[in-house]
Amino acid sequence: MALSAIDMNALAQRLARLDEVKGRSLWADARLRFGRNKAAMAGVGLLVLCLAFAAFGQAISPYSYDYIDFTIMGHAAEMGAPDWAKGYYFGVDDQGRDLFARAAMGTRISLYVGVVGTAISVLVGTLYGAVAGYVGGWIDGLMMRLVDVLLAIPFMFVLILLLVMFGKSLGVLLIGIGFLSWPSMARIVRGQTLTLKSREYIEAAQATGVPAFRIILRHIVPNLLGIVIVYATLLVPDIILTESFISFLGLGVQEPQTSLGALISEGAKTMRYGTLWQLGFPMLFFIMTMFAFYFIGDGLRDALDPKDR
Amino acid sequence: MTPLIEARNLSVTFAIRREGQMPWAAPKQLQAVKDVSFTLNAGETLGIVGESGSGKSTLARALIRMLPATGKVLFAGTDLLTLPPAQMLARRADIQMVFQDPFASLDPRMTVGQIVAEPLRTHYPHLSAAEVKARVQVMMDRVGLLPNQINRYPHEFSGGQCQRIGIARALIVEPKVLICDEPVSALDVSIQAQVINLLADLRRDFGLAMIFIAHDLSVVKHISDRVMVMYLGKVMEDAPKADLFAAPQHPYTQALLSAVPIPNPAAERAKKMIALEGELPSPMAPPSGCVFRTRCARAQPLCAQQVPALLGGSRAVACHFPGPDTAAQG
Repeated sequence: MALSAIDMNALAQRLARLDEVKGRSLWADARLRFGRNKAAMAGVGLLVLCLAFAAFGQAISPYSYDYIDFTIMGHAAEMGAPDWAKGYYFGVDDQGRDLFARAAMGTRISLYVGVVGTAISVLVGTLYGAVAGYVGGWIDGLMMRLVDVLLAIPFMFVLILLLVMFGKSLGVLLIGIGFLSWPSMARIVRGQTLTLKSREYIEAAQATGVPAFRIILRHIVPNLLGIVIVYATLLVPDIILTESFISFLGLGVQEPQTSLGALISEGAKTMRYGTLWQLGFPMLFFIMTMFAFYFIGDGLRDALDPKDR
Repeated sequence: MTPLIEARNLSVTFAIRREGQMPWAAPKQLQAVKDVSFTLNAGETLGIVGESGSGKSTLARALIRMLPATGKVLFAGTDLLTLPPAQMLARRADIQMVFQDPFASLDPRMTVGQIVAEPLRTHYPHLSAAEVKARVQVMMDRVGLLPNQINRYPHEFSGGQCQRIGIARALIVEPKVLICDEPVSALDVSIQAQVINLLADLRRDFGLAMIFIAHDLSVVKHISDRVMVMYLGKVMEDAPKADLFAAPQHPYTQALLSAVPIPNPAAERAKKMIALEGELPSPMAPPSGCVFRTRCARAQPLCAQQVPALLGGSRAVACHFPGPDTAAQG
């Protein structure tokens, strides 16, 4: 024996007096892996750029998004090209409005719709799916058949109908998108809940006497959050696309407010007059936002589920 | 003295639906546990053994109402199976469970402190955070974990340490009964001994009654006062440990005991093994009469006709032809 009993006792006492060790959670592990992913970090950079543009673009521009320069109005093709000296960084649109300010507003509204729509969908879908999966039995059957019915309804038509019926406003669009996109989220969450439900730690919580709803909130939801986050980051660009399409049709955000979709729609209409900047700049931010979210989503999937690579 | 837990004619039946079966067609019945009765006194340890699929774990889960069961489970006189759900939730503090897989039974997103504190927070919600933490640290120390590891996560521990966390979680609410569902079968042999000794110490200190499920007879022999042998959901033999190991009466118990390796090559070679023929019959279609008859050397026509009753009080055997094994001794 190299160590005497006294040494061992001293060691034990020293260990007992040690400060509490800080554990490394699975979230911390995932953060580390995410940080090492170059594509994902590039996505984060792009997103920060878009966010900064959306937040401060209107403040930087000398013109407001609804200020009309009557000297240029109607002569955008000849006089409206990007002009740094006048402060029209991205040029002027058909109505003589500053495109820089309008693109900033469009980016802001598109991101806003994407994030809030996703948040509604995540909140409703996660709770609905987790409850259905955890409770099981005929309640699960009933809840999931409802989801099937909702998924079978053509989403875009309903959204257009809603906008026509309740008026074309951002609020209706947001609520419509949020509440129409949760069923697929609920399905994913339910499937995940079913696999989690049979884990022993859920059984241990049940055997301990933890009430069902607390088990869902404390054990089920944190453990499926990884998948929910990945799906949510991929849902944001989807919703931005939907909003752009609706705005492209002229049903979404209304003048003088605008969104990227509405701007692109206008740009496409005036393309043949030679005002390509009207299409190019909104398109640039639209594509940057899309890429950013897709890269981040991919990175998160790799970071949160290392077994899947 | 009333026993702490008394199970009377406990049965668990699962309805099995075939894939693509019409919803109105009657599902097949699988009897996982059939007419199991036993008593457990305070401070006593009951070992339950049997091969895979014999219904050991199902029985344990039926006792704490994790599965729908028929019959009676009397805990200190009250029937747990008919208790209203809210009262049952409160009763769960008295019967805690330790699980087989040490990693899977701990929530990977929670720290050790949160895991061990969960039963405490559930059953004693008025305790302050500091009080909960102090109790958790005392309990961690008691099961041989360093209390300063309270903020670590399960994946930062070894299998044996995780099982200690599981034990700490079960004991923090000071239960009267601890159900251990194969607590050591996922661990290395050297770690097994540590965990078994820990359980034995804790049982003495807390005055616990224990139900110890295992398929390893040497483990059961070490820790049990009484041993119950199960086969295909039924009790074959239920006897005090010394009697069961010295003079098994049921041919199935004899076959199980003969399969235990002896750590002495000479004795191991001299030992006669009773090799059981065939497989465990499907529980969907159990043999008529005695369920063990299809693999029993002593089977007679009577065994196919009549179900043997579990007779003999505290030294009970369910066999038409019980007795010491002549083949193994001769």
